Amino acid sequence: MTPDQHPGLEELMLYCLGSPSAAADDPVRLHLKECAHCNAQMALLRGDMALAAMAVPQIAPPAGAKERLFQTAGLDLAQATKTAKLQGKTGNAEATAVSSVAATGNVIPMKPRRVSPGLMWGGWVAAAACLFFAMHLRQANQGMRQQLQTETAEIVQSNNSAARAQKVLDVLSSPQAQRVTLVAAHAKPEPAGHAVYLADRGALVFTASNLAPLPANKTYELWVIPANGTAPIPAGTFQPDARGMASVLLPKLPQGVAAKAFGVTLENAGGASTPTMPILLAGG
Amino acid sequence: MLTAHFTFAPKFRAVYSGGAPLALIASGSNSSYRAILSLPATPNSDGSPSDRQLMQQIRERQPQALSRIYDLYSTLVYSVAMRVLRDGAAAEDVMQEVFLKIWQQPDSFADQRGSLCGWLAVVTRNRAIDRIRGSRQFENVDDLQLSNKVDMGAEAEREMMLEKVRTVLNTMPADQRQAMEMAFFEGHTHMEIAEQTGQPLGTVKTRIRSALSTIRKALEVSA
Repeated sequence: MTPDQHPGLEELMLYCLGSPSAAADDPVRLHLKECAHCNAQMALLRGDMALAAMAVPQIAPPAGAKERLFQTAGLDLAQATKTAKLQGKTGNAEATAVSSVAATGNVIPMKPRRVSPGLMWGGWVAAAACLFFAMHLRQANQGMRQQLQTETAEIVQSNNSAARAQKVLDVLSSPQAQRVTLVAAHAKPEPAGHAVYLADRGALVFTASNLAPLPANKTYELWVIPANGTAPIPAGTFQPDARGMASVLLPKLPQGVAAKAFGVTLENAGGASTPTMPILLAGG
Repeated sequence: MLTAHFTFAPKFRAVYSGGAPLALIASGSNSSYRAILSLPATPNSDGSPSDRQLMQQIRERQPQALSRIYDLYSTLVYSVAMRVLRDGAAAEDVMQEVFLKIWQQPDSFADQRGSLCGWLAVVTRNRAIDRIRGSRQFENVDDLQLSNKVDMGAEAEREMMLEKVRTVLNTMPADQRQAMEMAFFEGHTHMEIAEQTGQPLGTVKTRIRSALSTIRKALEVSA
């Protein structure tokens, strides 16, 4: 290998990692002595490896390791620590001067300024509080997002239900709706009524067909006859159209009243609080 | 003093901002290179001595500089040694060896060879691998140079970059990470890794190269 024949990146990598050989006669080693280009590549590789090494989980060295190091090196740790602290506060030149004076024994010890432990910990506490607050906000934000999603889904479902119910009501209540009562073939159409009732909700839908036209100042009135034998409950007045069709949709009724039967009477305009005989239509 | 260790690049661009360290970017016709910078000669922003000043003080035999360097980097050195050796006593031995080398042979680290902490990390790793192998394979290659775009001497920037590296390592494909860790922290040769994992040698090399490339790209994006 010559300076003109550069090793490949993998060879440099191999050399950098220390395998298989870092011997003095290693061709990559010899090449690196001559080649600035490959040295730059090696420096980059080592830089990457340094980062990988520095990223390892940090573990503090054991207590006493520093003392053992200084003892091995034959140095005075106490003096070095004192001077290093002073140097950290006063700058290099000053500390060097103090260090030199200290070596002669003529030093007047200066009390280094210390940062209040309260101030030091205050910063960490504030940072921890900010972190906690940020985490709390994040959790609250996530909770609100989930709640919003749930409520949005419910609203969509409610809207769909309401739209369908509205269509049903539109069909039942529209004057333009074609209403036909089917009877046996060739039979004469008779007045008839159809009631659909949900007792627990107090909801009633009533349609009638082939009703006779009303005399002046008269109205038909629908009644719910309770199963418990109490007085009939008025369920709304109605007038048939030109074809004898009529409907009563969701009149105001008490909830939870089980019905034994339903009836229709002829009443004075404005309706009555008790039914007037005879009952024109009845079913139950 | 700013020193670039390659002289053939046709273009240089130097950047200096306030008290921040210098950056030098050089580009050639086919590739671009990151410069190897001297350590900043000025004190840190908090008035404490810079790494370069500390190394100069060590050359002047001032023990407080060793104390300061130990305080700054002993956790890093011990952590790297522990990662390789997984033994506290052995890790402390390696840590002592590294710091003694700084004290006894301060010129083994030249300012222009890169950041002190990066140099310490790699030298510690090499010493620990040597200890595993029972060899002195790396003893003669400590005159190594390192290059990073990141200002490894600036603690805040260094921590930010290391956090990014940790994220990259945690999210890279498991086979890449395994290959790199076996080579870097366990000292296995590529051939040994291939035998242990049952993968072809070429695949092992590619995985290690990809892992290093992933780290570098992540840092280049953020640099």
